[in-house]
Amino acid sequence: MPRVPGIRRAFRLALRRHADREVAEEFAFHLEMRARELEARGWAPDAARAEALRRFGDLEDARTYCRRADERRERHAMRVEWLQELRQDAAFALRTLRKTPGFTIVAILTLALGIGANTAIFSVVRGILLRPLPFAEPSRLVMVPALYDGRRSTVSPANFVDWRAQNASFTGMAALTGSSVVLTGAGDPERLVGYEVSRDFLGILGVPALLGRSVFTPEEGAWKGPHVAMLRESLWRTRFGANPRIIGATVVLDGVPSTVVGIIPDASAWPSKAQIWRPLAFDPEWLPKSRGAVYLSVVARLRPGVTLERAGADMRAISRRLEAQYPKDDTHASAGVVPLHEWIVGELRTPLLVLLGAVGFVLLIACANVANLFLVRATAREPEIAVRTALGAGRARLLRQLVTESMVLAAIGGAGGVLFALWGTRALVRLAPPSIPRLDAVHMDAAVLGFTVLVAVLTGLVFGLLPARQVARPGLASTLREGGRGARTRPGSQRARAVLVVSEVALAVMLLAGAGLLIRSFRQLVEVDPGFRTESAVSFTLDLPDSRYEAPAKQRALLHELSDRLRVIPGVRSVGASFGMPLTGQSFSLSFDVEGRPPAKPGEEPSMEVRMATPDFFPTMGIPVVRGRGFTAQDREGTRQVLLISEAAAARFFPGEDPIGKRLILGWTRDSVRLGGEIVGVVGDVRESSLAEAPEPMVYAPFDQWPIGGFTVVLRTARASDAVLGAARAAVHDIDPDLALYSMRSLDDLVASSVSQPRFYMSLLAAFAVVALALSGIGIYGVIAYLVSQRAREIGIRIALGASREHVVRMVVRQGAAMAVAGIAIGLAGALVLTRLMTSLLFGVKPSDPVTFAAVAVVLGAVALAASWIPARRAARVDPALAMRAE
Amino acid sequence: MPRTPTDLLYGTLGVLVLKTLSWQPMHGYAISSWISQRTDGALDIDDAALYKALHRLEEQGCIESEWGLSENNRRARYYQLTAHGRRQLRAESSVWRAYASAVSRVLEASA
Repeated sequence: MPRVPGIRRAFRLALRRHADREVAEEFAFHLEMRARELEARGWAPDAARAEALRRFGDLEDARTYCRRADERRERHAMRVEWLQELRQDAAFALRTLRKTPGFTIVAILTLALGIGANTAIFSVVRGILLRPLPFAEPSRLVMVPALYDGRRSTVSPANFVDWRAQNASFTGMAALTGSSVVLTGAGDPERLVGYEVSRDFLGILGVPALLGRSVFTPEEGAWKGPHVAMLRESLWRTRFGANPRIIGATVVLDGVPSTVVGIIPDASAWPSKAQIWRPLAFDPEWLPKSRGAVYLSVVARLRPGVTLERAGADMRAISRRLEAQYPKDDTHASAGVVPLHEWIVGELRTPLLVLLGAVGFVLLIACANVANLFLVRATAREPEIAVRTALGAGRARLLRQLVTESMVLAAIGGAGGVLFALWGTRALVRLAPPSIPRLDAVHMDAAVLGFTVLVAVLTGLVFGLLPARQVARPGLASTLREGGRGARTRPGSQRARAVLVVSEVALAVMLLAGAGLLIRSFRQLVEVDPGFRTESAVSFTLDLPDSRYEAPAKQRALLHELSDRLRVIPGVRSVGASFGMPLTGQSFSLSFDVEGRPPAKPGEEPSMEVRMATPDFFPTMGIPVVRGRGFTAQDREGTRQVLLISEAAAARFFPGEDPIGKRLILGWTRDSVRLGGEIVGVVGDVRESSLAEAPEPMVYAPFDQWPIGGFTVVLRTARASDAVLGAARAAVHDIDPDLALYSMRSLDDLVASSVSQPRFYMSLLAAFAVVALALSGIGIYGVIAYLVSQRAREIGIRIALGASREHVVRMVVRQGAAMAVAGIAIGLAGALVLTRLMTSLLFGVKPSDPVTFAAVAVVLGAVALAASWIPARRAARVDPALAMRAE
Repeated sequence: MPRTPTDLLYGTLGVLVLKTLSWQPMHGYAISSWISQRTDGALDIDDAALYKALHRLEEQGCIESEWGLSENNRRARYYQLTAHGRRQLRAESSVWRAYASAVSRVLEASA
């Protein structure tokens, strides 16, 4: 059906009136024809018209019906047309883009990289920081740490019980403590990450059981109650084949048969690595004396309407009462109230936000780059567009086409970005150190996808409209009069390009500065001496179940037998063992008194980290004995009790005197004997919880005098450690097949995993910085190359008039250098402000580290020079004759 | 009130219109005259119903319309069959024929 083009648009607003008129006209024609027919058959004119109307039937109804049908049809046709035009525009855009593959590929890659990296990082940030915890009303859950002199600490059982009884702020309060167990029977013995928890702990969190229950009964939660446990869903699936009859069945934990009462879903298991939960109970006789034993974490749920401040005031008031009542243990002790979410992810906020900011910079650079490419291209296309304008293409239509073109690019780039983000998110989760919490909550989801699409669309609009504004300006016809070739660069567009390149360089400088600081601080960090030798040594940890190894004699006997067997493994040079390892934070702290000094006031007792070690532990680890002697085989049960202290302890507690020969009494009583002894030597310091923290004062006791049901064995080896580890495992299982070895790793790995978080942040930021550097290099290159091509004739003339090639190169490079210098200056100023935000991530480097800043300036300057030198060389090779003829 | 063939017509008005238009493009009045001539007035179609059918068919894409000049030089809306309409006509007439012959077989069966 022939149609007047554009008629629909003209009538769009008057669609209804138009349809109505058409129907009326159609009906009028019909009535007139009918009346004429009747007249021809002899009716009087008036009667004929009346009869025609009568025969028509319900005219108003038909008129409305037909008008509505027409309107619907028209609207549909317009939609179809709009889609067709869009498809045409998109197809046209694709054709145009295919004609310049270099531009298209660089633009798409740039976008995909920017959008993809953004989405991946945003996914991580969302999963860790933004997604609510998987509990009921998570915003009302809080941690309640003890505060000793304002420092957060775990809580003593007696204080916990008093807190729970006396507070008016919480609907529930629960305590938990780590308590791993070995699961035996049905396969290899397996060490499970376990917790002892108050009976209603998961109930307070609002975690429902998948099967059975998530709350222990009062009988189960009582001291000496029945042995029961809840298992994590994944453990139940892998180890018990997801058997639904597990509820009520018995599993063997640390050699004790225990009844399974519930299966806890993976999605809301907490602590997030927990595999097994057992009831926490206190010996009623010991409980009143437990105020110094701080080992519980306390979680609570705020009553509706109670604010953090009110709960905090409540807890402080309770603490003051306890302080007055129990001055010996609770002097200077208080309690804090911290939202659970902040407690879990608090430390990650800064690094993640820094990464988010950095990746945002990358996206900005990417957009600037693409906008730049578009500007260059738009100028190059001025003649084409001028011709099309002259041929009658409307401004709106041209604008629309340009926007379509950039939207098509953004769509392809965005799609590439989604793929890249999918891959990147997975890679991030895989590469991220396991110590980052809530990694299991990280995945690409609808919201993140929406974010990507939004970024893609905004990007498309931003860089689509910039050149469109320039191109779709009236007055383009003058371009035509210039012969349609060699459009002159206008000062406006040149300034726009320069601004883009300068901001790109500035952003890249800030990123590089951030990355440089992290790299420098990481290098400082790994050069810190951990206090022991890491090469060719391996370690593994054993937990001895109380059910069979409660007697100290058995613990001693096991370690002796094991050491003897391990020592004879080929390749093993020496074997040591200790309770807890450096860099893991697995030591505990005890207060102490020095014999002969007046006892310290309550709440002001000095304290040290305590470790039980075998004599060979020190040579095996490579920890030197600085003064006095180390432990020997003679320091065993029944001989004089001896201790070693670290240099830091000697410096802090015995300044200016010789600690050797002094006697310490430690705040730990076992079998009514207080741990203590005479200091016989001073050993080197080791870094306890991380390389970044100064060594803590430390005291060592001989394992044989103070045996304990769990220790880490260290093997110093002469050859590859894998074979040794296999033999070590066999040796353990020869002695007791039900013992589980865990944390098997080399000491190198121990150090590496202690710095895995800074390494992760550094690698990511460095990757972003490299991308930024490459992108800004491309940006400078693009602009200079374009300028050179525009000035080919001028350069040709200069050469023809005798300008040397070096002169031409210098002239061109100077343009690039000017932009780079401006960008570097702005970037360094910005970096000075921004790097202060990452102070907490730095170690041994100031946020305004001049070395880093200088290096950044040099690197970017070099890249800028190289990026302008390549097109400059090309310019200098211009054949004057050719250049002029080309015009 | 005795039922007339017209009552039965509504369901099949569409197929009649399509059939009529299969000869040549026509305006509404011509279609109406053509059908009543063919049936000797046995099917006296309500004009309102006819126009509703026409606009419905156009919305469905079976026919399309265009303004043209009538035999007496008046502006008239002409309808013509589309390819889709032609297919629709074939499909519906075979259904209709099968239906009609089934009904007549039943009615003419001697008991």
